[in-house]
Amino acid sequence: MDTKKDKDNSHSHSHSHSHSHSHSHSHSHDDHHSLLPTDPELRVKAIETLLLSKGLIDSETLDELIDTYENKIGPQNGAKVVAKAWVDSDYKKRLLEDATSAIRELSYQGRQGENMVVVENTPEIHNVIVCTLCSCYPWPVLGIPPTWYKSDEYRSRTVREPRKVLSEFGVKVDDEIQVKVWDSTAELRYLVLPMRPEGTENMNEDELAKLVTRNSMIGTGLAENIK
Amino acid sequence: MNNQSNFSLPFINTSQEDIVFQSPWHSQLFAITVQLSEQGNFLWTEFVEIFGESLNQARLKIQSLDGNDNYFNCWLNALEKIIVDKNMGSLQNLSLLKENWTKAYLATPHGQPVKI
Repeated sequence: MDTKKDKDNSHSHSHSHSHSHSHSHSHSHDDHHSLLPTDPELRVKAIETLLLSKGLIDSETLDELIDTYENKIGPQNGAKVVAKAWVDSDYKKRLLEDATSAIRELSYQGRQGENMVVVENTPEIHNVIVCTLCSCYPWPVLGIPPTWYKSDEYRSRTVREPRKVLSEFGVKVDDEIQVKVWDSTAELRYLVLPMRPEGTENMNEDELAKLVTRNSMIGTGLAENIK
Repeated sequence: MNNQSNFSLPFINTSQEDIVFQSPWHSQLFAITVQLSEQGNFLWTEFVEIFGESLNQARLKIQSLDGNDNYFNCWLNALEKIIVDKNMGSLQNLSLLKENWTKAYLATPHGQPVKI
């Protein structure tokens, strides 16, 4: 608990140098007290203090969770799933039929990946995923969604004018290609299986995985071509 | 189809693309919510429903949420609500603790650990 508080304090110290203008009280060189965190920061501290005192959360688990999603789980997981599907047609079949189980074969499972559906891009269909309610996203394979995925602009415009949004991401979808928008929910999470780039026939799974970008698995990008 | 690397969506800050959490309070909020849910205090679907409502409420006041601080403010409102709804604490408790933290910050000399 003390360690945690000390850490919190070190944050407030560094915070003072980059955002001092945003604080709610005036600050001058005559002020000798610690800089006041912002309103939401204080509310989060209040929640944390309350729940720690009741034993409903513990600092170690919180730190582990943050470390996991900042450093360990991310689109590199989904890229391995995609690369495997590109080289192994049996795996691809399993992935399209029962994505949750097929993804679990690579040990990616759990939290927000309990019910997965993989949608395949083809020369005729381009898929893109969104969450119109909040920001539902397949954490085990993609990690935490980027800020733009959580923005109203992406969430509303992708449904209304997907081709325009895709073009703004640099993906030009020809008129004859159908665009399908998939709305993720808390119960069901989608992952796009992008098309394998041409000229990659001799590449192995590890090499292929490097071509699979996060956006290509959301549908706002394509797998990278060989440089 | 062409794949261009320099997309131009006006709301994308490319320099922040690879940062998972933009502020420490975002990650704390995230982790607290996940742990509470995993400990069985509420279902994730229950949280998502309240969070969705909180986002909708915010949209009545703000024209467009940018997915950053205003998004996590809605998350914070939703977490406070579910804490109260599930009898984990009251708004009075939270308000008092916030006040205590505020006083502690104002009373603690700069550079010293802040405690309540």
